[in-house]
Amino acid sequence: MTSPSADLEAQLTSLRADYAALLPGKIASIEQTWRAVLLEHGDRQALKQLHRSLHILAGSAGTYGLPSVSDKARAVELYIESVVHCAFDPADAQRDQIDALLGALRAEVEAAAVCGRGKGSDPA
Amino acid sequence: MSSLRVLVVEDEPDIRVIAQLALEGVGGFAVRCVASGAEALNAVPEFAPDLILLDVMMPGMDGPETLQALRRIPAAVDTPTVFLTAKAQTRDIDHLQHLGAVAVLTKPFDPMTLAATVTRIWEKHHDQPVRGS
Repeated sequence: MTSPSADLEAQLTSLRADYAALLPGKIASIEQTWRAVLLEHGDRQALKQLHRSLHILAGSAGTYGLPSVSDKARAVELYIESVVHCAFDPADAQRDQIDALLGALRAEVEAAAVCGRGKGSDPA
Repeated sequence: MSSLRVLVVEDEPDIRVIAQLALEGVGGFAVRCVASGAEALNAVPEFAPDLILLDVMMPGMDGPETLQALRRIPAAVDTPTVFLTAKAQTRDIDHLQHLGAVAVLTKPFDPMTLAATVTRIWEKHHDQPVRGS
């Protein structure tokens, strides 16, 4: 007879696999929102939406056993938090910084996808 | 098995799913999950939770606003409430506790220990063990 914790581990492994499979789509959505920010010349609402998406990803990725993805998402979240309350000009260095941080996040997601193939991810 | 009744108020579906699994699977709690503060206000009279796990950052009514509204409902006027928040907001923990939360948990959390953490918080608040544990 399996213990409740063993049952939970099995269910968590399944949930983590489902979450990891959906992660590239979440990143694509975040990048789409970032493109919208740029197209709308730093529109504050679009920037807040981007911040919220990253905040959610930072909270959920770590809970689903992907702490490195969580950390990268948190880094972009915190950077945006630092600029969202002041004048944001997507043409200046802030754009390059967010591009770089999002690139690091995507790389981490791709690395997690490679590492996660055929096995469960490590818990947070 | 414990019969602690926990209401989870969280707008993010991924977190709701894993919190419910962790609290039911390990803690043996009776868990109800809702996606907003408004849904929480509707759920409380019927579900009568022993403890509320409340996300801070939600669209519409946020966590602190939801807590204020809950305190006006007789069934939740003194229900211990735990805020669930992100690491980026840990500087606000003192502020959140002053709003009436008995504890503040941060996301990400470890699903394997969430039930034990909730049990400790409940027992500390009531100065007695969880029923049936």
